[in-house]
Amino acid sequence: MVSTGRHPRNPVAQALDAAKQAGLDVIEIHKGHRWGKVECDRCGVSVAVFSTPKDDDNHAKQIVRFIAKHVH
Amino acid sequence: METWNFQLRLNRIPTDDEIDTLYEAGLDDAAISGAVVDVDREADSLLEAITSALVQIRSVSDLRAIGMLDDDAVTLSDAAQRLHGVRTAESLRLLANGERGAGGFPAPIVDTGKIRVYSFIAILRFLKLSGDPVKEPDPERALYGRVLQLLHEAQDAGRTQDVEKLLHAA
Repeated sequence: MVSTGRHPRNPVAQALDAAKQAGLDVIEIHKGHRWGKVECDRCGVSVAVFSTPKDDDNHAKQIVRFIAKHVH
Repeated sequence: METWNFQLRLNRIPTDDEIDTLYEAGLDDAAISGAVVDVDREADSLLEAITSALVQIRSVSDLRAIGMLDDDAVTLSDAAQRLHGVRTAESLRLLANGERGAGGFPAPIVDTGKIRVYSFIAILRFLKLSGDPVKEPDPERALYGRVLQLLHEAQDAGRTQDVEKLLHAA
């Protein structure tokens, strides 16, 4: 059974919290290596979020860079 | 070894299944957004980091990198890399925290409490005003980006061998 709700890696989960606070959508997918995605509903662009990234802190940074580019 | 951050522009948007293929090929250190791959990779050099990512992108049939992006969204570590020794990450951190300099360092675009992302253009503007000898754009990344664009044009025109001959002869 796939657990839903919070990303299993804490740094990534915190970055996803920041995405939500910034008004972006965090959508769970749980398919293949994709835990989900962060989507900007203004421009429709999304970034894939991996379930098991190679480095949690770097994947969190990548999500935050995405947030920074979608602060409209 | 250092962790290098760079963004590659793809010739098209990968499908969801192809994103999984890219992950399995070794791009588990990247975030894929549309036709952009944002990579944070450990390597001895930026060139080594980029070339290893290029090979992994080709694991998906007819997918390739066609250029590099000058991402404006940077952490202070990213910014320090692009500054090529003008400022270290620690120096930038001290400036950002007001512990050094006269103040006025640009505020982060996003601050999660753990991660701060800034506008690289704003940082450059601040450093130039402070008298730092910053080079814009980053000559190394600009060169690699031009090479990728050239190869893309050559591949599209069916003239990759011509380019290789020119490179060997020059």
